[in-house]
Order: sequence, then structure tokens, then C-alpha cells
Amino acid sequence: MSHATSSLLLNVGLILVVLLVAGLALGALIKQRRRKKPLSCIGCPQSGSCSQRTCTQGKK
Amino acid sequence: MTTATRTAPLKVALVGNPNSGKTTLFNALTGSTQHVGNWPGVTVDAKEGRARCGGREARVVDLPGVYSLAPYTSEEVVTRDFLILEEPDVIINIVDATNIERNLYLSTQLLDMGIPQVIALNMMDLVRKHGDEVDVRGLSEALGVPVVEISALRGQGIAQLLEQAFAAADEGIPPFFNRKFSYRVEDALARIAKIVYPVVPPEHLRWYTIKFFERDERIRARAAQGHTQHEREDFSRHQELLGDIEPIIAGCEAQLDDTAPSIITGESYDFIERVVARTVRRSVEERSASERIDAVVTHRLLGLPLFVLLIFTIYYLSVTVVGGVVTNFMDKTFIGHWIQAPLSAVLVRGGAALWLRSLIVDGIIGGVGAVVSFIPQMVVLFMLLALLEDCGYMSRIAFLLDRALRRFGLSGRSFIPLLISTGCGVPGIMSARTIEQESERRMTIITATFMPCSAKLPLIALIAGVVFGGLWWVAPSAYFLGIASVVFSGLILKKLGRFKSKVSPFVLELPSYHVPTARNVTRSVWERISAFVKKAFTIILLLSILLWFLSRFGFVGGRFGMVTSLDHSLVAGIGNLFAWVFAPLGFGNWRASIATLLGLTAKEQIVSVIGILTSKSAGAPPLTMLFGGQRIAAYAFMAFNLLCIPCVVAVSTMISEMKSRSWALFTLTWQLGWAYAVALMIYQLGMWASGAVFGPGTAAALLVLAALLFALLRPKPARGDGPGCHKEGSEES
Repeated sequence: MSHATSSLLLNVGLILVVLLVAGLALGALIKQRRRKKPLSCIGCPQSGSCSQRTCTQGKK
Repeated sequence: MTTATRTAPLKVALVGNPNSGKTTLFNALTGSTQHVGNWPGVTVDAKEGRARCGGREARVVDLPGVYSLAPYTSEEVVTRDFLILEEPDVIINIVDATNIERNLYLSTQLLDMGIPQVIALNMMDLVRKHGDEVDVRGLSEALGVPVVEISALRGQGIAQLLEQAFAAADEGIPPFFNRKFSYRVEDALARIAKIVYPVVPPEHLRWYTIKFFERDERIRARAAQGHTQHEREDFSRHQELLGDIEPIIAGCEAQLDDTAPSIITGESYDFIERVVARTVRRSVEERSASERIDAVVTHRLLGLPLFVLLIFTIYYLSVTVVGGVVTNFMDKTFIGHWIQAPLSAVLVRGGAALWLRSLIVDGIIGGVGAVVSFIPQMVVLFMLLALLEDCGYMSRIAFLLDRALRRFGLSGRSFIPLLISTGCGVPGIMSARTIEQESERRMTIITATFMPCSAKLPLIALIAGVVFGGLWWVAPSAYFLGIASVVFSGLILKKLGRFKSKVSPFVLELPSYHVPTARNVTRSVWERISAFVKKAFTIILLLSILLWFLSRFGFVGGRFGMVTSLDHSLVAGIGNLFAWVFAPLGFGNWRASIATLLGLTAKEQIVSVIGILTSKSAGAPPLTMLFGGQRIAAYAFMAFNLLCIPCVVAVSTMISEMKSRSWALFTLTWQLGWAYAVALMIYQLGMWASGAVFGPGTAAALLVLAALLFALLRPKPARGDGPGCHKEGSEES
């Protein structure tokens, strides 16, 4: 494999790695924001599966 | 319900007094790592976990700590609503055995509810250590429920407690609680019970009856809502009968010459005294070690200077001593020589593009590394603070500050959110929910983020270490700048119409001093450090990539491309737009402006931005040149960034907790204005004092100082004198 080809492959690989890392960071950030639950979630039977940030069960 | 028929996990409610070890027990039951603090208000958010026993599973709900089920505080409302509406299968009532009388008051109310329960008698190891004894079997017989001795802290008795809880839930039998009030009260309750029987759940009849007797409006409203349409119709039919309740209550009050809630409270305590007299044997009273320590640390004159000395020592040790050695190693040797340099060499040899090398080495590793290198000193700082919290010292500070601040119309109640804010402003702001008085709660939210949180520590360490060469007073002064800002801006706010109010009473239980446990300290440190690391590898990483792009690309000669000098980059253009705003504060250049602006996303980002924008590979000037070589400007930069609007997450919490856009806007404006005023005074008056010429900036700073002094010293309108601070526990009750 020529130096130019290996260099090209390295650059493409590095770009993919950077995109993957950035994607993972963004995903984790979004997940963190969704995980926060308000006080009204205490005892709610839906709290395990619910990802809403405001209550849909009529609780304040 | 029997074990055989039950398929869903059991619902277990964990209820107890604040500071009874509830969250520690929750962690022990569920293997969770929730924050444990020895002050009230730690549990203000939803906390649920799973516990397993004998192959079966239970959903454990950690409810906020309460002293009673009277609806006086938001925690009491949440706890009570949960117990009534969610109908847990079993209650685990955690009772602090070292404060058994006070804790049993809540227990009597829970037992009245008729829900199956088990009493977890916590801190029995301390009871034995004091030479006291509790007759557990006698207590169980007197209360009509199983009582299990445990030590949540040491994990003792947890399995037995779970077994008893599962058994109580399976049997579904309410406690055999045979507490009788005096004849007149029992007579009144019997007559009320006949009236309310059709409209309340029969299993909770006794509790509802007592609440109707106490004229509990919320319970009356709850009964009106009913659980079903049928119950609502019933209640409507019986509305006229409810009118008959009032004469019964009034008659009983007249006979006993007291109000209904006081009658119930008084007779409950009479009952508790009788039970305790039969079941608890105390050794000869003598002055405990806690009382002897408190005589010094809560001393009127010595208390606060001792606190100042401790905080100075902690910051000096972590930021200056550890920071000077370890952070330097982390930044220069570990990240610079061991990661960046070899990686850069490998990428050059492999033929990676210049921009890609710059992105990975300077942007991502440089940006994230600049933040991560501060972890060692953060570990030391948070470990020392956790030791103070866990041994019980920080509760004394709230008490001391309450005594000092009350003279100025502020309450020590606000100190607890401020204390939590030294870890992170978000839970600090949320814990202000425990403050009942709206104006005091708002004021606490406005000032909570003045405290230096973990995200601000890298900035403090950077300025103290690099610009001031590890000067001993710089890092601790950041902490006291936060406290001073809380006090002075609080005093000024108090004199504004919206914040005029009586100082609310502050009841604080002082826990006995104990040797901090490695588990609690490690958990506290891990909780803060892991949040910091998560932020470093999420938002800091993403913003580092964005900042790298903005700082390495720009328009040169009308063409867009990579720039050789950062001064021609896109970020320099953006920073220059705002630089003039910060010129009077001593850091009117684009780099410092961008660091300040991006610091609004996450405060750690300030250090990351400085790392990227002062990178040697980009030919940037050293850090000290960001401030024109003036230390005062660097200190003003630190002060402004510590005090101004916090990160976006804290701002969004603030907006939701304020429940009003206009209040949120006022908060942000106040924080920005306060930070600007403080930084302006530090820079302009500091420069003037060190021999600079008197200029328009100096005049402006003097004007701001005069305005603040006027706002502080002007006569206070209608000052409220609330009841004093009541300390329960080791000194008085």
C-alpha cells in the first residue's frame, strides 16, 4: 500500500473516530437531560418508562 | 394478597424524620448511590430503587424526611400524598434510636394510617455506645408492629428488615396500634368517625377521623374529591353532616381548653413518654463528647473564626499544595508529554492532515485535558469538605450563620442550599424548595450560585496557581467572595419591597459528631467527580470541537480557510464584538471575552477555552498576557466568572424553580449586574490603590461602591423579627 493510500485511510479513519466520539458525547448529553425527573414523579407507576419532563398524569 | 398471587414488585415507602438515616438506608436497601447529607432537605427529588429479598423484588421509594404528617411544608405534603394516593404495600418507618421520642411522633401518625409497616430502629450501635438500652420486643408490643434493630450506616440488620417488610406486605394486616387518647378526645373521634365513615377509605378511617378533628383542610378537600364517582356523590350527600363536626371539635376544645391540633399533639407525646418510659433505659446523663466539641465550635466568638480558618486550610491544601504539584504534572507531563506529544508524532508519521492533527491534539485533547487535569485537587477538596459534612460539622455552620445573619434579617435556613451549591448549583437551587417563605426562597435561589461550585474550581486553581504563583490567600478568597456576595446582595435585596418579610424560624437538628465513614466520603467525592467527568466528556468535548473550529478557521484576504494566527479566526471576530464590555473590568480582549461567554454553557469551559486559545502550537500569548500582565485584572476576571450567571443547566433549573419568567429575568439581571459591579470595583479600585491614574473607570467604580453602600445602609423598612434559631439535639431541645 502506498504512503498516499495509507495516509488517506488514516485521515478517513480519524474523521470517523472524531464523528463517533462527538456523536457519543451528544447522545450522552441528550440522555442526561431526559433522565432528570421532577418531584411529581415520586411514586408514579409510569416513572420507569416515562421520559416526559412535565407530568402527563395530571400531577403538579 | 399472598405471595403466590402477587406478580408485581412490592411498593415499599421509606418514611422517617429528616436526618434519621433514611437515604443511607435507601442506599443500603437498593445498592443505590444517592447523596447522603446530615442536614434536612437532602431528599427533595424523586428517588426510587429496587431491592431484592429471597428472589422477590420491591420498588423502594425514598420519601422526603418529615417530622409529622401535618401539611405545613412541601416535604410533608409530598410524603402524605404519596401514602394516601399511591397506597404502598408496606411502610418502612425509620426511627433514629438516639432521638426516639421525637421520631416516634411521626410513627404514631403513620400507625394511625393503617398501612402495614415495619419500624427500622436505626443507629442502635450509637445507643449501645452511649450505654443506653432499648427493649425492642416491648416497643414492638406497645406499637403493634414489628421493630427491627438496624445500623444503616454499617449495613447491619438490613436483610432482616427486608424479610419483615415483605412478610408485613404479604399479610396485608394493618398495625395493631392500640393507642387511646383521653376519654373526651376518643368520644369526639368516635362521633366524627360516624359522620365521615361513608366518605373515606375504611382502612384509613382512624387517620382521616383524627385529621378531620384537627380541621385539616387538605384532607377535607381530598375526601371531597373521592376515589370514585360513587364516593364523590356520597360525600356530596354527607356535606351537610360535615357541618355537625365543628360543634364536636369546638366542644372538645372548650372542655380541654386547647386547640384541636395541640390536643392531639400533646396526647400523642403523653403516649410516647409512657412507651419510652417502659422500653428505654438511659445511662446516667453526662456531658457527651458532641456537647464538649460544640462548646468550642459553636461558641459565639470562636465559632466563625474557626470556620474561616478551616475553609482557608482546606482550600490551601487542595488548590495550592496539591494543585501546585499534581495539576502541574497532570497538565504538562501526563497530558502534554505523555499523550499530546507522542500522539502528534504518530499522526505526523502516518500522514494525517494538519487540520485533523490540530483538531485531535489541540482541540479535543487540549480542551478536555485542560479540565480533566484539575481532578486531583478536586478530589482532595471534596474529600475534605465531605469529611466536614459527614462528621456533622457543616450543620453547626448553618446554626452559626443563622445566629450571625439573623441580626441582618437573613436566615441560616438559606445556608443549606448554599452548602449544597458548593458541589453543584443545580441541587442547591432545588433544595431551596424546603424554604417555605416565598421571598426567602427566591432570594436563596438568586444567591445560591454565587458559591463556587465544582465547575468553578478549575478556574480558581488556574488563576491562583498560574497567575498568582500559588499565593496562599487567592483560592480561599474565592469561597469567601461567594459568601460575602450572598450576604451583601441578600441584605440589599431584603430592603427591596418584594423581599421584605419576617425572618422565618429555623429549626435545625444537630447530629451527634461521629467519625466519618469511608463509604459516605467516597460516595460524596465520587458523586461530584463523576458529574464533572461526565461534563468533561460531553458538553466540554463538544464545545472544544466547536471552539477549535471557530479558532482555527477564518477569512483571510476574503477567502475562508485555516488561519495561521488566532487573531484572524472567526472566534476572534466574535470575541472582539464583546471585548469592549469587559474593558472596564481589565480583560477587554477577545480571548477572555470568549472564555467568559462560553463559560455560560458550563463553567469548566472557561479553563478549556483558555487552554485552546493559549495553546503554544497556535502561537498564542501565555495566560498572564490575557490580562495585560496585571494580577488585579486576572482576579477581576475570576470574580466576574464566579459570580455572574451560572451554567445553562443551573439557569434552566432556576427558571423552573422560580415558576415565573419575570423572576427568572430579574435573577439573571441581578447576578450579571452584581458580578459586573464587584469585578469593576476590584479592578478599578485595585489599580488605583496600586498607583494607577484616576480615570473615568475609577470614578465609575467609586459611584458603584457608593450606591451599594447606600443600598446597604439605608434605613430598613418594617423589619421583621422572626423567632430565633432553635437548636435541637446536643445542646438543647
